[in-house]
Amino acid sequence: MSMEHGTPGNGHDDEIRRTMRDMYAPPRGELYWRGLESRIMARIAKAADVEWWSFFGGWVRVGLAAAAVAVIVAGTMLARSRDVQARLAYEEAIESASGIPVAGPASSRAAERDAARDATLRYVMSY
Amino acid sequence: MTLAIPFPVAGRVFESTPEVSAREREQQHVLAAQRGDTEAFAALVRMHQRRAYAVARSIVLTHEDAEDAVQDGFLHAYRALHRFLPDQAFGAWLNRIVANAALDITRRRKVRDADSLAETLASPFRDPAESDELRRRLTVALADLGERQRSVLVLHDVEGYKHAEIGRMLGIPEGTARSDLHHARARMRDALGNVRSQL
Repeated sequence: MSMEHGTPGNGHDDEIRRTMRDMYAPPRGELYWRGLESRIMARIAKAADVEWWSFFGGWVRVGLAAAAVAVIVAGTMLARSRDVQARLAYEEAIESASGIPVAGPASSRAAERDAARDATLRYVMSY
Repeated sequence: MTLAIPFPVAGRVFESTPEVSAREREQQHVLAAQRGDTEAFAALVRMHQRRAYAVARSIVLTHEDAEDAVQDGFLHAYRALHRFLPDQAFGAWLNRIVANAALDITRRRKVRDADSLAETLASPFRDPAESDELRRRLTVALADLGERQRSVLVLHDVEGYKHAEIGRMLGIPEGTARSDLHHARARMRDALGNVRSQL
């Protein structure tokens, strides 16, 4: 089997070559090629649609991720603000509580000092 | 009679032979397609689908697979069109893509066992003319060749491509294409030796 281009082989090789060319011959008829062109362009159009949606699909994923991050950040901020509010309320309560006069050893010492001063004054006035 | 009217393209002056004007037309279609004109890409499909089919058919075993490879190839080409340089030959670039698509299909088909493949190929539903003994044996012998040897054999002996072109298309050195062709012919000679005596 020579099957070389341009070199005449024996009749059997020619027959093999002819048969192979026949087996591998592209479909004849313009209708087939028009149909193939339509199928190719339909696949391209479909792929382009899918890519268009996948482009937005990508943005949807980005949006969802951003929303999830925003929810987490908002939750954290809310929790922190509650802590701050609670702490402020506690501190305010403590500060306001320190302004109330409380009976105790300090006030009794002041009363004793006043009584001693009055006694001394009375003693000086009696002379 | 050939019209020879000089015209400038990219600073060079060409004569308007049919070959050059076809190339220029192709370039215009490529540029338009790169700008998103699908009609221009359809024109490229019309210009190249027959050659693309021939390339695919030389690699895969059935007409259906060849058509799938052509469709895949054009789809890949459409997606990669922005990377193509319009001053290059679109056909050669496309043929490489189609050859790769056909090789992918052939590799996927390898999961099928050889017997079912031979039955598929010999099925009268696929091709009624395969009742012919030589054709049947040829089909089996070609299917028994490795995908690369078969591709090189068919691209060279049926489609008339040169070794260097085949090498570029299949991504192998020219010398490898040459030696693949030699080995493929030797194996075909062995496989068809007994048919030779019977016919």
